[in-house]
Amino acid sequence: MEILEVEKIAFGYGGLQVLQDISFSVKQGEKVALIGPNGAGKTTVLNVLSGLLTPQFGKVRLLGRDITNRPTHSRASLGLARSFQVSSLFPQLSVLSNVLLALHGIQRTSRQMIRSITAYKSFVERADELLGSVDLLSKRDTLARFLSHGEQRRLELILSFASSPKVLLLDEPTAGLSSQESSALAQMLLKPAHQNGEDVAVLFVAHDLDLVFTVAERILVLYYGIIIAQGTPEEIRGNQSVREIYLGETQSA
Amino acid sequence: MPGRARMSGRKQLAYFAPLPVILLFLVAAPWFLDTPIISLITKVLCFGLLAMSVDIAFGYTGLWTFGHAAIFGVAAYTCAILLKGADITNFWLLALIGIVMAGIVSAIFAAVAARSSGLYFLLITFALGQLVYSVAVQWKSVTHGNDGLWGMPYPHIGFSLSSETYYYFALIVVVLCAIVLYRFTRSPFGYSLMGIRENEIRARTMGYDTRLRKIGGFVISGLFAGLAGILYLYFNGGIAPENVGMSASGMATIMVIIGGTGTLWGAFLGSAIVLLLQYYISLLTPNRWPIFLGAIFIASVFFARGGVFPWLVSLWRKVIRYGDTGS
Amino acid sequence: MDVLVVSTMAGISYGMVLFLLSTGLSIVLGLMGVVNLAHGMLFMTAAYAGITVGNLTDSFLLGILTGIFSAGISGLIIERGFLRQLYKRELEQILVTFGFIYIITNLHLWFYGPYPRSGIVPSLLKGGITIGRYDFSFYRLAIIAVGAILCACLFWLQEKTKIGAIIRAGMDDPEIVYASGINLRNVNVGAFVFGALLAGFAGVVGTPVLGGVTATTGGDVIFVAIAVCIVGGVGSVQGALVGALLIGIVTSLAQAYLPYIAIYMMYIIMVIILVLKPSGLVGRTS
Repeated sequence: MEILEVEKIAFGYGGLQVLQDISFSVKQGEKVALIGPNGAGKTTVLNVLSGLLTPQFGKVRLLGRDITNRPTHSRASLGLARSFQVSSLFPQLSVLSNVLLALHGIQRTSRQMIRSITAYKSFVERADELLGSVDLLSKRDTLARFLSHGEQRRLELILSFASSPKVLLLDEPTAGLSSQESSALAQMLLKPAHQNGEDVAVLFVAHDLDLVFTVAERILVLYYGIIIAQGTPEEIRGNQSVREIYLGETQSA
Repeated sequence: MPGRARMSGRKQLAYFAPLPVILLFLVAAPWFLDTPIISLITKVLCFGLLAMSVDIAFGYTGLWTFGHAAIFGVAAYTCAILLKGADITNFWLLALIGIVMAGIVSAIFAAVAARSSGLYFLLITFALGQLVYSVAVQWKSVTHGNDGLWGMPYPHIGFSLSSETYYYFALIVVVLCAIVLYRFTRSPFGYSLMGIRENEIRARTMGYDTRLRKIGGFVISGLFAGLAGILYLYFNGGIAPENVGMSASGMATIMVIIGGTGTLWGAFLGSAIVLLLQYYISLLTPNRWPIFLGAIFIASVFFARGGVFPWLVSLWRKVIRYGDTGS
Repeated sequence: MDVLVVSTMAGISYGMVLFLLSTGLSIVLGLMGVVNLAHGMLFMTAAYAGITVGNLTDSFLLGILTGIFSAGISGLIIERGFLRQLYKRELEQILVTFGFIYIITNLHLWFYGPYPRSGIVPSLLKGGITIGRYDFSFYRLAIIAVGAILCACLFWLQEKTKIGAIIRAGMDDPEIVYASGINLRNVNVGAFVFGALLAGFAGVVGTPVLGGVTATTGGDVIFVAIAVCIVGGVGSVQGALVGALLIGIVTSLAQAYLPYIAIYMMYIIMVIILVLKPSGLVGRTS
């Protein structure tokens, strides 16, 4: 079942056409990688999908619903979550508060203006669970701004996992992580992590080809705003134009 | 509370000890302090509440408001006008209408300014605040212009208050408000406002309707500012445009900054510091007080970074740790 | 009809004064992101100093020069002494300059007393001229002329000179300007002081148009200057001109036709613009 459908998206500003005729879909539980050279427009695709940018043309559908013009927060409540390439945290709040905010974001709770945030025990337990999964439990009460770069990236990731999304958009999830942490993340993505037992669909932007070829079931190659190839890892590896344009540029890899 | 280092139960108790002590002091004060000082403390309570409301908008939500005195003033003027013009004398009714007016005005301010942030939010609230001020000055038939509206009796809350008992009334109201606001800041909604302050885009991707919440936070702040205005109206016996304009709004913001932005209690402390300074310096040089006020503004920027309250808190923590022989 | 023409002319001359006052504020805001609420103080200081000296020496020119000089010095002190340490800290800039408003206003009250002073109109420009059926004051016409000339010069500076290009580049991307080896900080200070000089000039020659100067003038005109920046758009000569003329003319017409809401007009315009086009009528990016 197609959980995310993207149809003929075009986005540009000024004189620059960043994305043209972008069409693809993601099935429930599918892991799809979006690769391409720098400046290809990968983050822009995520921005359009998450609602931070409005495309000039095209449609985005989540679970069959047209969300092209829906505001960002509304998409989150439908099950779309996203992480950022540069860690986007709440610096002056504690690590625990960061996660609690992520958990409360899509849940209507009673007495939410008067009851202490730590009194919602199930949320705190879930937050601790999430923190434990990325080994940040010991930093629970530290302010986010005092975390090391790697710790911030890990916090960044669980903030997007926290809402138990149906579709997860990840922007360079392993940037800044050690190879050990990267493989740990890859394992996390491969496990079925959804609370309801459903697999999370993941669309991730990456330069880290190890991650891509370990996790991705399908790969989209973006080049100057156009998808020049779509397919399984084997197909992409064998694709001549992709090799020339993208893989060929990183010969050392 | 999330973000606070864990302390032993006994230490936690000691940590919060100053609060009841201060409360006790305030309750007992009329017995050993002179009337003018009690009067000053009442003023501190009223403006402390205003400063706390400003902190909600400014410190917690990150909305640079420079028009809160206008909201404060709208509530006060509404009550005064209704009392004198429409002869409504029921205190509770007046207060309710006043607070509702404050809420409406805050909603207008916020709706107009919500799309902007930082500097532009400040300029908009500044302009709107001045608009309200202009109305207060110009609409002479209703507001008596620069003279203001005077002759407010003490409220009748089942029994008539007097200048002695009004102090306790104000104290109780402000303490209750402080408790409510404190709980609000630790609630999920309160935290979401801080999240919006810290990183609005992230908050949006988490599912928060940030525009609505900014308006909501601002309105809640405005309701308490209105209540502060009503408290002040009855304390002062009247209200005048000078309590409504940029000068008053600036003062409220400065109180928050001196005390400590985003700490809630700091706002109170800031109010006490500014008003105490004003009282004593005005005794010495009544005409040159603005120079000192200006100097306080400037000094607070360069010397009170972070605010006096956090500084006192860290001092107190050191005291507790020093006195603890265990861990 | 007479009222309309005379009011409009008055409005244009008022607008010119506002233009001279506000250009400095606008450029500095756009270039350095610095909010100088004390900008109005510069206007007032210059007015008082210039009028005092002008009356003492019976020389309009000397008065103007004194005014310009005092505004420049004051601006330099505020910038170098205080604002330079608050780069990118807008809230603190607002508080510090707000503090200066209190201090400077009270100092002027102390030194010059509470009574308003009327501006100097040199004998050369006294009186009026009658064109058709309408009477115009020479002075106001002169203000409009001088304002227009200065506007043209400033625009030429902005668009056709190297320094203008540096300033415009500095508004868009300061890092690249620094990387090109240009000391933008010095340019910034220069722009700040230049803006102060303009405000000083406006203070002396503008007082007759404003009807006098008092200790509260500084606090009053800063609002108008801010309104001009918001309405016209920050960071350009043309923005300041558009904002100033719009506010000047509308306020003047309101005073003639709807005196009860004249005071509010400025704020109403400001709020409308902020809601519809936050970057101002001629705005660059906000």
